[in-house]
Amino acid sequence: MFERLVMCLAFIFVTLLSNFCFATETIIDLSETRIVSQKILNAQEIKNEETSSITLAKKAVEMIKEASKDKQLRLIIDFSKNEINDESFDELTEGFLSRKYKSEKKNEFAILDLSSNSITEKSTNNLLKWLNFDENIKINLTATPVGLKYIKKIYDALQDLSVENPLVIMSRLIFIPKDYLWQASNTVKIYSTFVKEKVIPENWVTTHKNFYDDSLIKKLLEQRKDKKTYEFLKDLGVKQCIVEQSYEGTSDTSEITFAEALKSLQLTEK
Amino acid sequence: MKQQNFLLSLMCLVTVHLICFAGNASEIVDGQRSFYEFGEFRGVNLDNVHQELADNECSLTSCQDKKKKDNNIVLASLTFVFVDEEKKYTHKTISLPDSNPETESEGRKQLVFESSIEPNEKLRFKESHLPSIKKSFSLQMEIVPNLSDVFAHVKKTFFQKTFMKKKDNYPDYISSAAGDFLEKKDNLNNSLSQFSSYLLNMNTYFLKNIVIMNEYASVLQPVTEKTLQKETSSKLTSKENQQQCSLLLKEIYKKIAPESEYLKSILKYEDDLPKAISSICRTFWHSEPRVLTFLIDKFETLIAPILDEELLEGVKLCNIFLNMHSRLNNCDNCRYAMCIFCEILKNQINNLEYLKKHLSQDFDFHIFSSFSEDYEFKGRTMPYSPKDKCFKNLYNSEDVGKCIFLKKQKKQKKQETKIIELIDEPSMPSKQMTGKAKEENLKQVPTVRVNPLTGGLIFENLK
Repeated sequence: MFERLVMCLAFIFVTLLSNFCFATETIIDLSETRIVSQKILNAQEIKNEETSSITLAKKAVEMIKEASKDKQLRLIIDFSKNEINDESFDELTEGFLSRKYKSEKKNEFAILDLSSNSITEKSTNNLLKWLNFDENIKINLTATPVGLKYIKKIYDALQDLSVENPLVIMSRLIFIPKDYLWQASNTVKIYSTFVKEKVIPENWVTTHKNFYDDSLIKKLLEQRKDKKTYEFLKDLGVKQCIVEQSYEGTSDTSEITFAEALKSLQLTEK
Repeated sequence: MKQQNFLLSLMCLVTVHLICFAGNASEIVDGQRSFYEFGEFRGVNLDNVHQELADNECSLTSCQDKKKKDNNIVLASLTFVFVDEEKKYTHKTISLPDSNPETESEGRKQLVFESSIEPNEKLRFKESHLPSIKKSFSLQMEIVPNLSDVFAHVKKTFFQKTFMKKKDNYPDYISSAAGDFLEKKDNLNNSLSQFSSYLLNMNTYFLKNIVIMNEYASVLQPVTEKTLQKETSSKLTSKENQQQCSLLLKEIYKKIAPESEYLKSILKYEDDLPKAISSICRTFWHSEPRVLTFLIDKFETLIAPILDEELLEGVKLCNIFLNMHSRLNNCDNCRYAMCIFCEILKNQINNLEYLKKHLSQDFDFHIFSSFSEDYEFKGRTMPYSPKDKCFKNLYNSEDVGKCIFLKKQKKQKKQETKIIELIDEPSMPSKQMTGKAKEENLKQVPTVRVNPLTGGLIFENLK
């Protein structure tokens, strides 16, 4: 009886210890918000704060604070598909990093996902700020104008900025999509040329593999895949209904909403 | 005078020929729906591309598991057409590769997409393992240019057309079976509509059709065919007919009930809708939409080698063709999916900042779909052979008759005409056919076009 009690207590102790020792993994999902720069918003006199890069920065900070109330987090900040350009990225970086994160830093920022945005080599300085902000952070730049072989533009910009040891910086940038990694490393010559020219580090394939093997990024990619299938189906549904309505000539195609279309469909089916 | 007239007419003829040829060579005419032979476009021989896919499909079909022989399989490739500063066209065709890192050591594989109502994922075959068995078959092609054109032909699903409108023409016992099946279908619909709050933002209609078509194909067809055979061979009495009918219904109920339960069990995860939807799709996909969802997911990966190796300075991307070869003809839902996919992918490409600067001004995306076996005669989505005497009433209407005629024309005069193949199911009479597809015209006309403004069919003689 006593032994069982000890076992139970030991189990509870181990569970509590593991909770304290290992950070909880979290994805801060701010993807597909489609933001624009605050300057543009001001110029156009549109007061839609939801779409401003400053608001996105605030939102990110709030979400992290909310998620990490009593625990330590290991997190991805997902800014993918937000139509972020160099200007809005500048505002976003300023807005996020100026919010006293350094003083109360306890979370581990594992990945900054900037994929599917319009960031170019002009944002190199801001990328450096993020890399300095957390020594573990890796930045995903796939599907941007500096992804794939165009990563060299970042390297050139780093040299222009006279950054010491640019290869260390380059080793923390992800520029090849997961499923293209095998082909790029085995069949595409330009990457071996880059290694020879010391544009990218020799271990770039391992770095990428480790990145894609990370449990957090696996979780993110899985979520994204489900979302894509769902969005595709949703688009199919909406368009199918709209065309069907326009063919029947019962409604104006530009005005109809999916809910309306669905209602009328259900009626016609009956 | 006669000589002058002759010369004049000859010149006219030559001019018309040249215009037609130039028109064909410079652009894909919107609305051309199907061809026996497409020929070349900007240096790409689409016939060869599809022939290669069809060869592979044929080999795969021959080694397909006998238990799964009714499952359709689809192979696909992407053709990229490039134009340089001197307006010279080059192209590259890639098969849809399997880039799973786990299989890297074995080399890259061609993906084969199989239809199934089982939740199994796509099959993988290694290219080098394809057996070299080849047989002759006719290659048929279909271009799916835009939604409204296709919609004009595929207004409603086959199911609704046949059973809802024509059920009175069936023999009595089948008619009542169909009626009961319809009722069951409504029950299935109702059970789905209970989840409408979760499904409001997704394609309930599309999903329902997929489920129903699958049920329809996998259950109703074999059972009714069996019933029919018995009926025609032994002239069953009316009591026996009723027995057959009740057997048929039992089979159908048995099949539908668990599916409905299955859907319910999946849809209860209201907090994780995208995941739930994906799991439904993985289960109920036909092979064609499987290819499309694969592409939606992997487009970034597929375009990567093109950006790295082909789009050098001064070279622009002017066309992307998705070539799909399916063993069986496309069903209506797949056609919908394909042409909507055209628009979705075009939008996606135009929104990709990193790709935008590499596109030429006249960039366009098209899907070409070919198939080896016509499900009009053999397959899953058409339950009854149109040749079957019992159902000739189904095909009595003017429009439908013309569709069948077109198919027969093609089969008889394949060597002469080569181009015509109007892929329209006889079960789907289209308004546009009325009064336009005259027999004497068809003998001369090698091309069928759809007027993009009116949606009507235009037959053009390019000879």
